[in-house]
Amino acid sequence: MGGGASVHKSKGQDDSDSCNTSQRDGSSSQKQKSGFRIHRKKKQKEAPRQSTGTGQIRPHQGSMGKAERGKTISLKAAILIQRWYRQYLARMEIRRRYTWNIFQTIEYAGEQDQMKLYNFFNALLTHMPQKPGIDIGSKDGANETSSLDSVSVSSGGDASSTAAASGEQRTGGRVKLRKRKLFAGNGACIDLEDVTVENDYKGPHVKLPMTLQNIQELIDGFKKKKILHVKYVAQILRVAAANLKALPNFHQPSTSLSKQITICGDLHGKLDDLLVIFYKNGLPSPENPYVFNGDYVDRGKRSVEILLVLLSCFLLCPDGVFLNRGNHEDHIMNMRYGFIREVRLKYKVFSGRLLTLIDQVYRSLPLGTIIDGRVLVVHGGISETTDLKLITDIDRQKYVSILRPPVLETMNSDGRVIPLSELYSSSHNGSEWKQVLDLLWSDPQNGTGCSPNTFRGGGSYFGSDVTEKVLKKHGLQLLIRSHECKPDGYEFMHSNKCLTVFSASNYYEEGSNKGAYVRLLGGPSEAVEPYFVQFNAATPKLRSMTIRQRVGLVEASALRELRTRIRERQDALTQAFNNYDPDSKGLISVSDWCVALEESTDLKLPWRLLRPKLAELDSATGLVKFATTFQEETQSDSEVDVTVAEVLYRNKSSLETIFRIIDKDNSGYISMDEFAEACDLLGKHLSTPIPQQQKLEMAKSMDMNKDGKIDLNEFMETFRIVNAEHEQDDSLDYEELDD
Amino acid sequence: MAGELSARDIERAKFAFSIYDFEGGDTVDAFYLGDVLRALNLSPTQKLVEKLGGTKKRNEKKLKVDEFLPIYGQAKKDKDVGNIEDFTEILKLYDKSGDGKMALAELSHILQSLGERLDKDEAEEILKDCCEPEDEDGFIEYKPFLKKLMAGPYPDDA
Repeated sequence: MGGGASVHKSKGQDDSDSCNTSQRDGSSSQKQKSGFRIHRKKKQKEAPRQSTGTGQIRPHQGSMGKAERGKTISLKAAILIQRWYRQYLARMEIRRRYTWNIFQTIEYAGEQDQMKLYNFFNALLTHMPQKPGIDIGSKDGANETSSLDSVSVSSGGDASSTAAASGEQRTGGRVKLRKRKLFAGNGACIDLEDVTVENDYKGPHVKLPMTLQNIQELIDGFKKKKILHVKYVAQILRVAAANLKALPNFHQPSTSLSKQITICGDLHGKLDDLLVIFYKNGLPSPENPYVFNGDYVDRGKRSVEILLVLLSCFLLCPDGVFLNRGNHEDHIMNMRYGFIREVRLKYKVFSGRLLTLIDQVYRSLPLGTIIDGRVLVVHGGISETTDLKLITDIDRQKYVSILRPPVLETMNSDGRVIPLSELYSSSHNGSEWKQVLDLLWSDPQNGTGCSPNTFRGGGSYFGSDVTEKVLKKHGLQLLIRSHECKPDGYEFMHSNKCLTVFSASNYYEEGSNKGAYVRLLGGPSEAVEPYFVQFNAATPKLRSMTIRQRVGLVEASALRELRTRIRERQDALTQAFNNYDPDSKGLISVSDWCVALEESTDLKLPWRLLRPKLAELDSATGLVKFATTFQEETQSDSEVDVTVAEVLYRNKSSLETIFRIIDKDNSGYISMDEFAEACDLLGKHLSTPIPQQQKLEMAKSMDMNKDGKIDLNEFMETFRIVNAEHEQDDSLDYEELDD
Repeated sequence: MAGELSARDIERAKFAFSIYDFEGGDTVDAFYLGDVLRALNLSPTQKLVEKLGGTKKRNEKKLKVDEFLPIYGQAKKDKDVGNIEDFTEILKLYDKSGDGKMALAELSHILQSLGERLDKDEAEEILKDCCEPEDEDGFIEYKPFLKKLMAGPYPDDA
């Protein structure tokens, strides 16, 4: 079983409106959050035995004076130490909390960025006005107007003749013999499912229809870090997509037979967490049904494995496994948050076609689950306009990506880019799209009311009144959702009517949070009774750390992320600094520094308190030496002009996104021209043009085998190597398929 | 009383306050009053926190920032914080052999049974973090422990 696990069971509901880790007088501890806080009633104890032998307090003894004094001093000692200790704890707690804020702020700003970025480039790259007769009613929702939307072209093996073609064009030593065989002859490419499994393949085998033993073998293979052969992956994806497609938009399971059901939240590629859940709660079956509430992929490094395991479980037991779509089941998100990278790394030349198959799975995933007609489970949440009946009638297959409307409308007739919010109101399709967006992207908020979720860039914020209203309107009792990481793995809001459950432990960093899952016990005729299990798929190292060390670790990680973002904005920031420093002394006041940072990074954080960690003061004047904000410069090894490489490196997530947009067929290669185009676009996005000459030189140096194409992964790898110690390591400790 | 707080104090107080403002309404549940004060490097007793307006349960009372600042000012005045000599004097009582050591179990017991008691997990945590591991007789040196405790969790910080 991957990682260790400590499981703490606690029952019942907890009416707290907040991140609730404190207890009693508010001092926090490692205690798990439970429904009932059991206040241990300590027996009134006597003074500890004095080792000097004055013994117990006996009122009539001659040594009473000494004993009394001893008792008083002990009491004083105890109180003093306890006070100090509580202060110690509180100081850690506040750090933990604001570290959390940092992570969350950066994460949601990243999501917002991604949407903005995508829309911006989508608009720029769409040269043509819409072709008439966009066929949204077609079975595949195939939408050929956008040059970007090639992923919606038919499923299966023939979508990537382009991939095959580019495979053929590759010459030189890079192409392995085996692959040449695949694309030999007339260039026709073989269906992935017809790829022969080599004799020396040591991974698990799959034979459909799925059996329990086969799932066990898959899990065992994954534990041993095997990569499943592409043939089997393609099989599983294809059959799963077909089966999922037949399901309605909302699963409607009943617990009348099983008398219980388990709901899991975001997993985000953390296979260890899924394995902990199965270990503690059993594999899915009709008697042990599961709802998985989306976000299976991205961020964690084993997204492929999680997806395969979940889909296999679904194939084995469609009456016991209910899969909801999350906002990360979306190729636009996958571009930025690592899933596409992972598929490329593991499946190389096959990744293009696999990703097309995966998109089919995404579109076929239902949008939510309604248990016993009374508990609604959706990934994000709701909004005041949520109408489940309306959603039931939608053709969800149209939504290849939730972030794009089924009808392409990002540019109006005079070429102006229409921002997302305006598209909401435009047409019937707009309001339908909003319904779906809200389900997968919304977040609950304290208080009442409903407003657009500007933090993330999609969905709504919904208050307790909205929850109340929507639940009532549909005759429901409870809303269960995921989408937000919680320190304890779960959290109740809105008078216990809205429950968040999040199953990826250590999500931001080791030690940042627990994972949890919730079990609803009892059949449909009994009251809804949630039972929580928290866990931590932690390493032994983590478990032996003290709270202080863990908080320190998480904080260091948050600061690294923050510095990355600062570096991304270096140009804008430098400009802002210079504005405050007209005499070019290199010094500005702390206040000015804070303002510059908040405006340039767009993050609402306590900059004044973070300053000591991010920039140095000049001891003489007490002003900030603002250049030190960027102290962790990267050292670029390449012969290319350092500035260009740095700009590109700093913006690598945006750059990756742009690349992947351009790399329409997901072949992993773009041409030199396309690379130049990408740099141009990046320059526009940053308002920092990249000089032509340097662009070309860069491109040339990237083209390793001089065939006029740039391997995206190698390009990204270059930068990873350059700053390896700061990276979340994309460990290539997997068994390579083709060696 | 808020007038006695420096601008920097007020800023730090507002920051700590905002961290515990879970509902975003510029209020903090009085349940967390102790936490906020301690995050500002004060070490009030639980009794004092209650006196200043802290509650034992959530959702009983909410404090606004303007109500909080005077409380902070008041709490700051509490000078009886103890210094390392006091502590050392006290723990010397448990030092049978006068060699700067006392029984770990004894310390743990004191913390859990006297005064404003810690519970078992809290006592364990603090001892794990601030103490060197006990020697084979179960004894620890208390002076280093006290030093570490008083230095706080992040001594390298401003």
